[in-house]
Amino acid sequence: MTDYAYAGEILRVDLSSGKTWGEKFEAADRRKWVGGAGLGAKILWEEVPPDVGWDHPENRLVLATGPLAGLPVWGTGGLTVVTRGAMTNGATNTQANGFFGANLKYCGYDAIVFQGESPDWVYLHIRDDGVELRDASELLGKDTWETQQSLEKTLNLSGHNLSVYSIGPAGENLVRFAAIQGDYGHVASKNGCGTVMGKKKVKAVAIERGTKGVAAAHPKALFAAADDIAHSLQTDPSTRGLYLYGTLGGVRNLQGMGALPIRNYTTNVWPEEVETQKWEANGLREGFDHRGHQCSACGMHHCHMQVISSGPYKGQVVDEPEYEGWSGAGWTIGATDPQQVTWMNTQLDRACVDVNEFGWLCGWVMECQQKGYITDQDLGFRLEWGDIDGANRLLEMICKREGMGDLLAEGTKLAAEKLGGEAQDCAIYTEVNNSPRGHDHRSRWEEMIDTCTGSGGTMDTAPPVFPTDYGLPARVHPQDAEEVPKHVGGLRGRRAYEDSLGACVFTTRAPMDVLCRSIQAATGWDVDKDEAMQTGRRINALMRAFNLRCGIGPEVEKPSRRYGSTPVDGPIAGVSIMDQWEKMLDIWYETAGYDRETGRPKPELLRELDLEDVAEALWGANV
Amino acid sequence: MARHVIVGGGTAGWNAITTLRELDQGDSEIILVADETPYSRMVLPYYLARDIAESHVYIASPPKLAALSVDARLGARAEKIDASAGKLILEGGDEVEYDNLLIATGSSAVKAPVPGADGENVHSFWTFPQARAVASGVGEGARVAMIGAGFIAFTILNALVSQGVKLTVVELESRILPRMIDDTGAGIVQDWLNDRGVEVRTSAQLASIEDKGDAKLLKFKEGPDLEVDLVIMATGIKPNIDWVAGSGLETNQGILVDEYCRTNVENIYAAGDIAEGPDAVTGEKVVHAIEPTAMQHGRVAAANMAGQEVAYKGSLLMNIVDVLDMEIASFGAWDDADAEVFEAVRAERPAYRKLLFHGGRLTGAIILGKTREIWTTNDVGMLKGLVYTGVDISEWKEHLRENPFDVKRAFLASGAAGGLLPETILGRPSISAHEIAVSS
Amino acid sequence: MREALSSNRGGAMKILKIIPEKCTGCMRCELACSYEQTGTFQPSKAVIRVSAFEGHTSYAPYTCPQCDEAWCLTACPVEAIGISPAGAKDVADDICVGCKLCTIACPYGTMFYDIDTHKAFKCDLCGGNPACASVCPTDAIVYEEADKTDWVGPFAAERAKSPAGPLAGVL
Ligand SMILES: Cc1cc2nc3c(=O)[nH]c(=O)nc-3n(C[C@H](O)[C@H](O)[C@H](O)COP(=O)(O)OP(=O)(O)OC[C@H]3O[C@@H](n4cnc5c(N)ncnc54)[C@H](O)[C@@H]3O)c2cc1C
Ligand code: SF4
Ligand code: SF4
Ligand code: SF4
Repeated sequence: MTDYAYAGEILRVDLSSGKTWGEKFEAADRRKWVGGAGLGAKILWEEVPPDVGWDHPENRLVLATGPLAGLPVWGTGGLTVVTRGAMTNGATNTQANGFFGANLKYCGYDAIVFQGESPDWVYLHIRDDGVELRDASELLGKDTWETQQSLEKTLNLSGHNLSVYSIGPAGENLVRFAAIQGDYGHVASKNGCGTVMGKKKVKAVAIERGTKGVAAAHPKALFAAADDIAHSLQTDPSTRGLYLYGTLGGVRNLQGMGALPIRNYTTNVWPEEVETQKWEANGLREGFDHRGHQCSACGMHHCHMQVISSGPYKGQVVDEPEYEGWSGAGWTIGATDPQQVTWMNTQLDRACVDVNEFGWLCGWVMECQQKGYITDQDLGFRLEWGDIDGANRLLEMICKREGMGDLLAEGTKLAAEKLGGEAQDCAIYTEVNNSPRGHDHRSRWEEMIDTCTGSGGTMDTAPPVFPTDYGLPARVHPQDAEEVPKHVGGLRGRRAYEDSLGACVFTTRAPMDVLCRSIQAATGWDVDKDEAMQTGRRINALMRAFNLRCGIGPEVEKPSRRYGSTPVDGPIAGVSIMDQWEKMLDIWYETAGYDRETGRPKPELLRELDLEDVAEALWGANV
Repeated sequence: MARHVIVGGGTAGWNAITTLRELDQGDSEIILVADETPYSRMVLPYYLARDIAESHVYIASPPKLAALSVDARLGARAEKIDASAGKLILEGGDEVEYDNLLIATGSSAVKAPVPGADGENVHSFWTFPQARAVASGVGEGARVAMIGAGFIAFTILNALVSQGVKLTVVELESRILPRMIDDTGAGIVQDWLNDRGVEVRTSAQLASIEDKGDAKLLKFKEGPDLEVDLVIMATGIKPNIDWVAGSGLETNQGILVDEYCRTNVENIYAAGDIAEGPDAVTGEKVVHAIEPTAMQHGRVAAANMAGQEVAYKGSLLMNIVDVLDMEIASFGAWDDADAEVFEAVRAERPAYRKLLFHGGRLTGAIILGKTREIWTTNDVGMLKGLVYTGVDISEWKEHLRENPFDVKRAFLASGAAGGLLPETILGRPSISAHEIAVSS
Repeated sequence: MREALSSNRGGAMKILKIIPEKCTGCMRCELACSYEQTGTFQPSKAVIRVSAFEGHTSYAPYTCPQCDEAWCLTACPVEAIGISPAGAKDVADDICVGCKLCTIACPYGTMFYDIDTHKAFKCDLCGGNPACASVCPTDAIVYEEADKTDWVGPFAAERAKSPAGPLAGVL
């Protein structure tokens, strides 16, 4: 049997003609590209030429899972979205979990590839004996949760027997940072992937859990490896907090290092009146009646549903925010009441935008109002720091593109550029238009450099996971201009590999040897950590090559003025990243094996990565 | 030692034997009077499909009967009962005295009364010999007419198709499965069959069967003739009741029994297709010519014959049949005009659900859908559980009205399982027949 | 009358005790169970099955309680179902003809039919080493001596009655 760990087929959907067909996921391609980000990158490179922009019908929207999905390794329902995204107009690599990957594979597919543009709004309905584009007019205007509820009713299915991944009103109205949300609370948020879905007039993908099986090459060994990963997650000091509380611990940890983005980077000081205990991980959880709502096969105490326990939204069921929610729907916009933040966070998931980008945008508008750069008349109302109802009103304006919402719907960068001047100087964005994560990256240099250089609409490497696996120091000082870029560049590849597995980035936070054992057991390959890294680097290189081909080069690899500014208070007051920026980039390029001048992966690297054709495309035949 | 005499070694008779031995381990005399070696008729379709060998059909062989110390008079037929003398009289004149007598003579197939019905290559499908006759006549390409589109006809339909026959189903009524599902369900099944190359002729009244060379020519009151190689008559059954006439037993369609499976005559019990006993839902007396009823009757009768007081809650009408990978099941009073009905069709699957309520109680149900899909749910058994227990699910009614497919959560939340768990038919945990042995 | 000795009458028996409050709906039990049943990860063929309550806020697994009546066992016309040393009602594949009588006999909805093998299948307690219990990350399924009781019913009733907030109605 050659189909271990794979369903073996890719579902192709041509929205223009309404045709759907299956295409073999060739065994030879599997090991080279794995799935998820890798498979998506390959499709993007091969099928989306430079003149096909994000909003062109021939753009591809790849919803892919990977070999671990549907298997008993924790957190393996993974979805990776790859497309030419609306924010950067370059490659996108963004993830959500839930049950997408598991349910899709039980239907017999490893990925869905959309092409074309539907004349009318549709949703894609998948079950293991049929695929159909169905009329979505009933679903229009519904938020993502309403969409799932409505489809549950239509299809008479409940629980995890139905996975729905959809766009909300934001995606329908082509808000540039629209996201794709699924299974109540799992969001693939980056680079306007929901905008692309909206442009293609696909409201949702509804997958009925199929009846097919996924085989593992060595099932017993797979259980054993899964147990070892779980054990590592539960006991390793670097993941134990995640295991117990998901990302809730982030608020206080990051605040301690000056990385909590308070009020649009205007301060790094915790407001005195805010009780710290409430914002500890356990405090955040104890504040709610909450219940586990785990992804496929996952044992983390991470994803939860909770009931708002006080205030105007008391009694409503919401998704427990990730750290990113606490910051984007909270700290960044000056909101510090967890009950309110948690509500706003779910509003964002339901309207379906990237919570980070919304935070930067809303925080920016708030600051601009305070400073008079955006008047009440401009906006239509007064939006003060921490005003959750106002933030929600702003969200509605953006989703409907009403009044100033129309401009804001273009995202922070374009809106700020439009306003220009002092207003622009307050805005947090990157020149490439990757939305920064919800941190104050002025104290986390690894993330700032990664966010500015990332080719997938966000960071490529992300926080260092078990760097010692690859001979790198366990940790480096977050503002060390030499070590940080070495770390980021040196670990480059690991994340892209993880993003190709159909698993969650949190549950793959295990030593690479252990993770590889699970992949070996699933696929039957003798993959080791070096091959994993090599594969990840291949994926990163290809996405970068794609972006270069789209005209996105090193000239846009820098932070906006505010994003790269120097903190005025708090733990790292006065420490400037921009003073070190060029040097850091030099080192990063060197470590990554990319050409500093052109931004291209060097030909010898491309050859080493078995990307002969890419080397030729970037450098010409004779290099 | 008490002497139990059992007439008929089908499902009811055999279950009575094992139950007696489970309870007394040999402490009684059992005489089985049966013209066939014990087997369950409902296994015959799998024999026809050539899934199983002849030996697999029999549940008990003579050595096994002997091992259970059963005095088996195989091939013998009971002719009449002398209740006042406590005697059973066999064909040929032998007499058997009894302390307790169990009548479990089942039913027989009835052919449509048309000229030619008794001709060659026209068979019922009810007994092992009949099954053999059909089996030897079907094969790749054979043209077969199935007269009657009732439940029994459908139990052998898969087997026939698997043998590669060209099948035509002929039904007198305007639709198929008239006594198992309603019009809506029947329509879906009929389309399903047509799509799969099985021809169905409804409202077709057979007039005669004539020979045409080696073939059979079926003539109808209306419509074109049909030429086939073999005819199967699945046109109904009747209880084997004639022989008890004059015994003083009260009969209606079957022999009337109470909740202990006792007849009106002392020490005489009846079980299975022959018995007309209480219905679990209505409490009224009915003949349920189905396997589970025969099995339960046999067990309950035996327990009472063994001196235990075991009252039977009553039997539930239920059937399940798979037609070319479409599952069709119905429970209880699925055809009740007085019930409140919630139903829904999902044409694209296809799937159909019908729930019948009296107040907060589910009294009947139909479930129909693709085999590949139905077993991904718990619904078949849960519907049975809801109908059987009659548990109050008023709180779920509105939900089920909107979505009759979502029974699982209603079942779980109703506490039906909790009510059922202490329940056993014989007042004790069941054991496997393989564990039953006589001690000596 | 002597008492028959039987594996179903052996007094205390280990069963699958379900603590629904702990279930997070990760479906790992289904994966492991389907692996035990089929050799692949195919939750549609798991015999333990998780349902959602109150929208997506509550989940509970449910499987055969190994009921005393053993409706499935007594119904089988070919005596294919026995009682295993672990006390589970267990289908012997070589005897089962796939008639499905057991599936309508079982009033708990925990007897199934496998369209690929043409046999009935159910929880066999994995021969005394239940996979579902061993893989459940939250110990919502525990294999121990306990009463055969309706572990899920009260939880289901409570969680179905109190749907809160915007998910109300999506049961
Ligand atoms: C093809 C087929 C498929 C079926 N499928 C199903 C199904 O899927 N589900 C279901 O619930 N039911 C099904 N049934 C019906 C089921 O088999 C009967 O309900 C069941 O066999 C009744 O059991 P019984 O013991 O009452 O009678 P029987 O099994 O008919 O046994 C009666 C026995 O008594 C013997 N006998 C009769 N008269 C005398 C006499 N005077 N002296 C001595 N012996 C006598 C007969 O020869 C026979 O052996 C099916 C039947 C057939 C034929
Ligand atoms: S399906 Fe198999 S185990 Fe179930 S009753 Fe029929 S023969 Fe027995
Ligand atoms: S499958 Fe049903 S009838 Fe059989 S032991 Fe389990 S609960 Fe009882
Ligand atoms: S004990 Fe085994 S067969 Fe039973 S539900 Fe658990 S995993 Fe499935």
